[in-house]
Amino acid sequence: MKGRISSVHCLHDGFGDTAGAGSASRYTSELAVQVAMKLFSDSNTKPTEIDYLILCTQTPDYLLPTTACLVQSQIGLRSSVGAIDLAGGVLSFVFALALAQGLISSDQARTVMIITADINAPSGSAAALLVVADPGRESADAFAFGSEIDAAVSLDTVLAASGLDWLAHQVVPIAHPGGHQPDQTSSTLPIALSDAVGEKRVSRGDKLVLVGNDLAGSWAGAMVTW
Amino acid sequence: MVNARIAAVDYFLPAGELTNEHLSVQFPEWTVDKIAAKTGIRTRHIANAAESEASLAVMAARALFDNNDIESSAIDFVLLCTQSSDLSSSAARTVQRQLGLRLGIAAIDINLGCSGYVYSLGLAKGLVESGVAKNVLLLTADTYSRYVNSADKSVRTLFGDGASASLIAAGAAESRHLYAFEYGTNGSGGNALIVPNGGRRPGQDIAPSSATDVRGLVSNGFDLFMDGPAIFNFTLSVVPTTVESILHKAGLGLDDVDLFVFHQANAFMLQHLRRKLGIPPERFFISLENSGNTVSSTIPIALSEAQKQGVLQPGMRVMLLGFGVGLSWGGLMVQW
Repeated sequence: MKGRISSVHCLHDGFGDTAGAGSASRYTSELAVQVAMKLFSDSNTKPTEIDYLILCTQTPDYLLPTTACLVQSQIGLRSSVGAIDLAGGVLSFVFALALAQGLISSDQARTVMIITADINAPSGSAAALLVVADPGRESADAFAFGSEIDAAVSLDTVLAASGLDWLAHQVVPIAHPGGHQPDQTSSTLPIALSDAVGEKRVSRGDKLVLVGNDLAGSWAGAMVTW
Repeated sequence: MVNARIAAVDYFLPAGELTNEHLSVQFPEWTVDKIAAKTGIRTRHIANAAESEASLAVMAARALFDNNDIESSAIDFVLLCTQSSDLSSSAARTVQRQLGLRLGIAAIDINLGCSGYVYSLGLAKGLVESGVAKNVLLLTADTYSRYVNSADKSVRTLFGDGASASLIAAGAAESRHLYAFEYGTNGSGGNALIVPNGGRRPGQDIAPSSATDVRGLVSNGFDLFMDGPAIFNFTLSVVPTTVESILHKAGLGLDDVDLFVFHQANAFMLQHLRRKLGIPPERFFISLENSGNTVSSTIPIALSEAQKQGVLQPGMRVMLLGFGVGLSWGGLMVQW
């Protein structure tokens, strides 16, 4: 069984993106709850459908307990879900996709929720998406990783790792490894994806290339079938 | 069809120690024997100022490589489970660099506590069985001693520092090696075990009784707080039901399990659980006398010890179960 991304939603600015001043998110868990609720209402998904929550953040509420656990009870997930935090900044979203695919293909979960959320004053950004088991899916997503390597190499490596005659497909780069932007967070790639979907730049069946690279020279890339 | 398994496991404890003798000098009302009887722990290992979660994990990985003839160049994914206070850099990436592993591999940090080894096994299984990785270096490392306020004997007697390393790789295709995973989370109990200071959010927000003034402590900047009775009740409620769920999923009975290896929280609680579940002592491994509660490292330390002592033999059916901070729990069956 392989998974596919079924929906993606984001908050560009969790501090400003609120109806009343009293509900502004001050902490990562609050931002995560806010974007999760948006996903549930926009995608008509019930919290009880989720089997596993992966929260990508560099700014957890506490050193411990794990922020994903705090989010679990606040968004009404079942007590039989798994919940973990994943660090890694802009790369963490690609890692989360790889972990979600692994959980689904090894039959440990059917619906994985990935939330990215970081508080970086004066703003906060967050995204939420679902990876769901898709019995009709044949081709696996491909992943490639590296460190201390020129970022320009990474895109080629991802394409090579996919083992795909990618010239034959519509390949959409979601975030080119362009420049080292200091404001990159775990939400950078999913927000770019959400924007591409919103602007109808991608269609179902397209191959999406997602590549993130961080200031330390590490990168992570995925070739995902939308 | 690829079936992932635990190909090898080892661990490392720092040289510094906090013995019951040390503790009874500071807390004269607690004798050496009383501490041992209450906790089952004789000594805890404590990281020094030069040691970190990453450096302990490096030592554990070196022990794993050396004792099992593993070429470090075979590793193509590093998964480090830690609740480190250093959020500015990736401990997994530091370990990758210090071990001289290949550059073209992933190194990721996940945050979970006492259930972390079980969750990490599930994630590593997924990576191997979906073809993303062939040889996952699974590390657990924590230095809770830094979080413990030295005047808080309730947690100081329990927690020790340590790290473990496991190699997760493809096993024999015809047999299931890591199976019947069960997971659980209850964030509304997250206030029962918390580091109230040193994070972004004040601990009092969710755990008013964790405040140092309420506890009569001078803050050390972290002040790990544990609501002992709440954790005890949580454990007694989730462990038996999770054991039952795992057995049901695996199609096994309690007597089909050759060895039970639970998170080594403290011996008193473990014995209580063992009696409640009706597991004979010879099939219930306890290993915390020399290391204490090392959080996500207790299960792999116990596995490594059971193997060294000859208690754990190839072909055995083993149940692993982790539970604690989060609140988070999880378990599985292992065909050793």
